[in-house]
Amino acid sequence: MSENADIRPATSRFRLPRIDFSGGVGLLILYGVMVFIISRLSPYFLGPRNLVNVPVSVAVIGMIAIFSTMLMISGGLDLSVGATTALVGVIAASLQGTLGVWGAAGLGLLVGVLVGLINGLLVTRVGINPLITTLGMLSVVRGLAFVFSGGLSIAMLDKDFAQLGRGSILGLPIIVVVVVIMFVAAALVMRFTTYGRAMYAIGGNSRASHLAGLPVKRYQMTAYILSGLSAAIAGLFLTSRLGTAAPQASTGLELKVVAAIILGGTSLAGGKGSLFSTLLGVLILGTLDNAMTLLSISSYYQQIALGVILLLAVGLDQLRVGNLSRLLRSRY
Amino acid sequence: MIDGTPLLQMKDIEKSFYGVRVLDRVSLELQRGEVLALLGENGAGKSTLIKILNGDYQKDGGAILIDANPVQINQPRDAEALGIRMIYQEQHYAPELSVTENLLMGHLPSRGLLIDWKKAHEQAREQLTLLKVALEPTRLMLNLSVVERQIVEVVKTIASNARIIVMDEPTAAFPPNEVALLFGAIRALVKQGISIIYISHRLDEIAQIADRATVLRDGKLVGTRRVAEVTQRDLVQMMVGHEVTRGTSDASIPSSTSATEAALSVNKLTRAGRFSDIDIQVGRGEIVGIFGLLGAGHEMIIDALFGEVPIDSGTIAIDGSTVSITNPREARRAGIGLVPADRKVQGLVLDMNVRENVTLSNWKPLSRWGIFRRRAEQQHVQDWINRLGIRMAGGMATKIRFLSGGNQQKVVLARWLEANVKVLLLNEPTWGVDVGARGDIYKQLEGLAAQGLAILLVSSDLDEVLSVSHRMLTVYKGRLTGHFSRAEATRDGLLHAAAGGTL
Repeated sequence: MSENADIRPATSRFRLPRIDFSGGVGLLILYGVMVFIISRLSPYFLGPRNLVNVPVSVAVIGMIAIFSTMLMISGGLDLSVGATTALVGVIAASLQGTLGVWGAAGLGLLVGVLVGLINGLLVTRVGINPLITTLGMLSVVRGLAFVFSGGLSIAMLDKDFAQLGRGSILGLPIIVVVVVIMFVAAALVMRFTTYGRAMYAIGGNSRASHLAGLPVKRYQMTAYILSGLSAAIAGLFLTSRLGTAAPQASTGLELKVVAAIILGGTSLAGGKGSLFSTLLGVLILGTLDNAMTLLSISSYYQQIALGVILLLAVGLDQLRVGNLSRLLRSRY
Repeated sequence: MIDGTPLLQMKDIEKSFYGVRVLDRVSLELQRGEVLALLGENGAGKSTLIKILNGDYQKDGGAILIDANPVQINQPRDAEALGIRMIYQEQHYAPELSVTENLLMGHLPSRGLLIDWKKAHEQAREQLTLLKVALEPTRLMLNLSVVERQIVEVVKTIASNARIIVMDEPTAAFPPNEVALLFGAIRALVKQGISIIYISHRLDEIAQIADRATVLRDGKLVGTRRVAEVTQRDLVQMMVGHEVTRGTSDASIPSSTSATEAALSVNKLTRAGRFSDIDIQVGRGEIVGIFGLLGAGHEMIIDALFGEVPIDSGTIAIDGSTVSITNPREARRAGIGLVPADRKVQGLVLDMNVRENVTLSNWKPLSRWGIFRRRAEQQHVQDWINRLGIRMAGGMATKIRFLSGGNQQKVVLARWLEANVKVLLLNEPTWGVDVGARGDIYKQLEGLAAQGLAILLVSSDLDEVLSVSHRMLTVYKGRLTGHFSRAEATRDGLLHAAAGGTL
């Protein structure tokens, strides 16, 4: 009898959305405080022009961060995303004459998938650690971008293509609408589908998942491919917005992506994390960048700030894990 | 051997965590040269009491006296200064170093800048012979058996002027026949006047080694008894507070195994260098137990049936049709499930909740187009919670890590039942499971067998194999050496066959 009584409230509790109140809400409050302070410091910050600036400026990072979050939840990591955006942009821009703008863009997407596929194969089949694999691929892909472009920036000024990055629907920038749709879709996938469940299970305990009969490697492959694809999509949007593709574009982007995800509380060890928190992490970083620009702080300092934030975020992650294990140890 | 004032007295110790009382005026006395068993189920307060003794935790109330003098133990260093040593189940050693280096770490004899290896090995050998241990000090730790490593740990503690040694489940990972080695060392310690607090779930060990037993339950002292004056059954009752049933009555054995069709049929299964010519038949509704000593290869046979160890030759058939199994996914598809030995590493996703862990092996019937049908999933999980009696504090949304070992094991069981397997393989099904919960798991296994499941379990716990199996096999050096019906099986017979003796 008592068992049944125990179980009932939990069954109904399951209906509530699963928000990590310890991480997510804390982050939301942090963001609120930040916005308040910055708006005091700069009158332009909450102006209508600038309110659009932040989401537009973080859209590219946001697209990648979505799939990087999924990858990290499954225990993976992809540092080659920044280089991939550059390579895809360069390929699309330089082949727009031969293949047509949309053909070149399509090829760019394929290249992103290919990079993800290679990453996935190296990690799951050859067994190289994800950090080393994708660090190596970062270098290879970045090099290819320079080879392909001869080191030069290439203009890509097609009017329709430019709409991707600069146009708007119902007064909202298309790029922001796209990234919001992607976020919502990915969040739904992670929460309600077997694919999302597999990501959490594999990141939480890949050995147990394997022994439970899950095709672990296949799932990991898809996560790397999606990561590569998302970098390609981001590369096309970036090229469209800037009207040009440069081989050195998005240098250090991977660092910002990882920083945003870790700031959101997704564990580097896998198995834990949420897209909602990543969204907040992305917004916090973007807002900070924007504020420093508004306050005319040199971009050199912005780099330092990014590094400090990353370290703070990882430090917090460690402390949280430490607290948890201390709590567990003291149970008996 | 035992004189007037006890060496150690812990009086009316109290401790609460977050307002929950985990120790309620618990007292304990340890005489000189005595082995005192500390018994209780998980959560009874044993570990907390020991951690207070070692200075890991601060007591809220009560007193600790050594030689009748009150002492303050505020940190592990204080305990060390008083001659209190802990030997934990998880061992801390340097695997790449030799026994000598591990024993003399920090005190290696030197000649100038160089280590005097000859002298070092001599000193190590001296310490080892003190406990009558025949162990070559030049061997690397990683090449030792679990037992030998544990013994090195024990030797290390006496070299450091210990007066009280606390052993927390020292034999948890031991094969039964090697426990004697450790006991020899313990007896030698006791002769030197060192006192031992011995924590174990294995009651037969207590009967062999302990002088007295102190039993805790729910943070309270149940009592202290002379081991010679009570039966194991009495101790179990003190621990769980009610009668415990273990094993089955013969009535529940399927009447004739030959009449039942073989759900699992293994023919001449061979893995070069590991095991060879393994023939096993498990009928529907039958529980077959494989017993082997550590390293006999019996666990690998089960892994091979699940596709985790490749086979060189031989066939596996399910319900009469041959299947090819090269990975766990194919095993599941063929209708085979595995409950692994190490739940936390191989069985459970600890960050997930009970519901997610139960359904991990079979999402198909619970989802459409890859989207979970939440209601269906909840109903299925609730069904297994009720049928297997899985207990948890907060319902199926409870994180699996907060369940007891026995309930975690039931979750892994439920997972395979949910996946509709016909054959269930179990590797050491009750490792780290409380005495009380063990009987419950055995009962569940019998119930499942009665419903037609074929169960093949591997265990190095002789009592376990004897009490749940309808038929028993023994493995020695990768070969089947014995075949017993329940009527024929005896402890001696199984041990004899598992140790390579001929029948």
